Amino acid sequence: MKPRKIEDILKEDLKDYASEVDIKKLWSDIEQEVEAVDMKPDSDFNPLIILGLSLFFCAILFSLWRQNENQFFDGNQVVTKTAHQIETERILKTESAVNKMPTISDDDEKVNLEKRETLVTSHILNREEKGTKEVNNLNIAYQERDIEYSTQINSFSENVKRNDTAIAVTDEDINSNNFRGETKGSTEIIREETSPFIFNEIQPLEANFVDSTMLKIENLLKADLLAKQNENEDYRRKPDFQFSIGAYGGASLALRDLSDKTGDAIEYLQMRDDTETTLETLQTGLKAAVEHKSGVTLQTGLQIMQLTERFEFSGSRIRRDTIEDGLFGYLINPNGDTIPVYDQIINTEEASFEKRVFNRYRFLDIPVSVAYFLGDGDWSVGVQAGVVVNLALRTKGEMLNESEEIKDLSASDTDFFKSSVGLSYRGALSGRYLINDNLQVEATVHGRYFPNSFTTDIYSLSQKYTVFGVNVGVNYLF
Amino acid sequence: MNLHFLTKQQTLIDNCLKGDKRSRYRLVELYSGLLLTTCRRYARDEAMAYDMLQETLILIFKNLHQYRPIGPFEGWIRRIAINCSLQWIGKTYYKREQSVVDFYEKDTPEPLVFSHLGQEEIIRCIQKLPDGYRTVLNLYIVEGYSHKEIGELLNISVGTSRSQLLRAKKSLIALLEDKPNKIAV
Repeated sequence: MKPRKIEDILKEDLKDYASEVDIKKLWSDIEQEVEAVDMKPDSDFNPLIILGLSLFFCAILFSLWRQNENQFFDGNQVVTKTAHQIETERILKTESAVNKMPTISDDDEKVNLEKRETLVTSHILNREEKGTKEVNNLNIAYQERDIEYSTQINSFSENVKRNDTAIAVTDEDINSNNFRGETKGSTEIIREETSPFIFNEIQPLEANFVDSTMLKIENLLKADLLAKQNENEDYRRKPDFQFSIGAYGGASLALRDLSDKTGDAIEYLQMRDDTETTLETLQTGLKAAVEHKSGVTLQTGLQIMQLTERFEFSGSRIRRDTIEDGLFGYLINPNGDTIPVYDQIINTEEASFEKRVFNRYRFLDIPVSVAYFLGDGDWSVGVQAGVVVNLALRTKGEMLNESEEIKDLSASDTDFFKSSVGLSYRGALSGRYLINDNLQVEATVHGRYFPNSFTTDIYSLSQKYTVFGVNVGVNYLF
Repeated sequence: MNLHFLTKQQTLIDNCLKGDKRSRYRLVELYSGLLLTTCRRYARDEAMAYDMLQETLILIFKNLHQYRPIGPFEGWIRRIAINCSLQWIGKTYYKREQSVVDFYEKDTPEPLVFSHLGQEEIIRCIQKLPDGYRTVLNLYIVEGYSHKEIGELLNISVGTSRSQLLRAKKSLIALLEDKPNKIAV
């Protein structure tokens, strides 16, 4: 035996020598402490979350920028008013003007008017920027706008409706202190037919007539009651909080991320990739939302989503039938007798098959999101960001296990998938159109990222999804 | 070490970082044997080595996010095991030997031993060495540290490190000589 130095023995024999360890005992000794270790958070780049958050913060910044529009120049200094203050002032001024309108005499139309309804409308006629002025080192752009106020008084009796347009005032009139208005009226006399053949049909009995009277309203309206120049409020009035419910449905495309947890199941991972194809995803749900007049909206609801995959597998099965004491053949003995021979007979039959199954992953979710909507009038667009809480995950179908055996996903003894996948992140862009005062249609492009694997801890592969899709729905506004 | 193995190893580390329990178990399964050998070389006995191993594994998981795949993973975890072991056995005893013994290893003839010694026997003999001898012997011969590095690591002089090593070798050979038919000097 060749002698060696002690150094060589220690280096060569000990450096890579692995002592025997009772792994299970060791793991049970350290498991609690290892699990308590706060690992580095998942560093997977998630563009969806970043995009959603970016859009959301952009929307907030835009909202803040818009608030600055309420700073306007009144000729001497910068005045900042909240939207609520501006709206309140406008209502006070116009109502004050309307209350001073002359009362319509019923005798003129010789009808008995019982109901009276007042409708006040206003329109911004012109939005022309007049210039800038430096105030407190700030360059303030101010606008001068022509604003027309008009009131409409509708009076009803049993069969008569009178419509009066009472005032039409512009900023120009106000600035020149020359308040002149014009009233125009029309009376429409209607009557219910009593004919049994045309029951309840409403027809005009007399032609409309127009009563045009010029009124001097300088005594009715005072300058300080009317809005000054630079008023910049959109007079489409919104309630402070708008509640709504809605229903929606849509389709999505799911991107599957299947990875090997330990590095030992690369071949199995490849096998699953080869046999499974991700198909369409469908979702539908109900939602409830409350929208502040600033556009910030809180939404939640209940959603059902179904993700479909196709499992295709070609294989073969060998079937063996054993017949005990089967007729094996015949012997002919020297005497010429035919003797049947009985023995065990094994019939082997190999059958190839192709399996094609649609696997379903069904989710019951509660989405919760914050949104910001922007828009004047009937159209609005918004950005949403939030989380989706998965209450339950149910799987149905078949797939291969690590031993290349086909397993039923819905069977209770399979432990591939969790019963719930927890939180997922959701971002969306929405466009809405108001059909009438109560109905609104909405289209949404959304993305959803599942940070957690669908599979259980003991399963060798991690299975995650990112889903992109489109929803359309209808909302009912209260 | 091929690329496939490295990919698998990195996947395992990534999954451990994500908190995957199965991967953590797998990492313990793969490397605890190697780490236990390192701990046993520094420990006085098996119980101490097992404690060191547990501490090492917890430290590895705590610091796994600091690992950069520019060097071998085994080297990185082995360094943690060494540092952990050194902390366990303490550093005070090295200071007992403050006198600088100014001689070099080449002045002493190198003893030779037969090559068919079992690893377990060698480890058990190393464990019988005094703490200081055992530590310097391991750091210098197995880990490949220089005397200067050992001096800085253990807060002792270079001369002390050299003398500890020489005495450690002599003591180890003496212990191995007690094993019949396995040692020849």
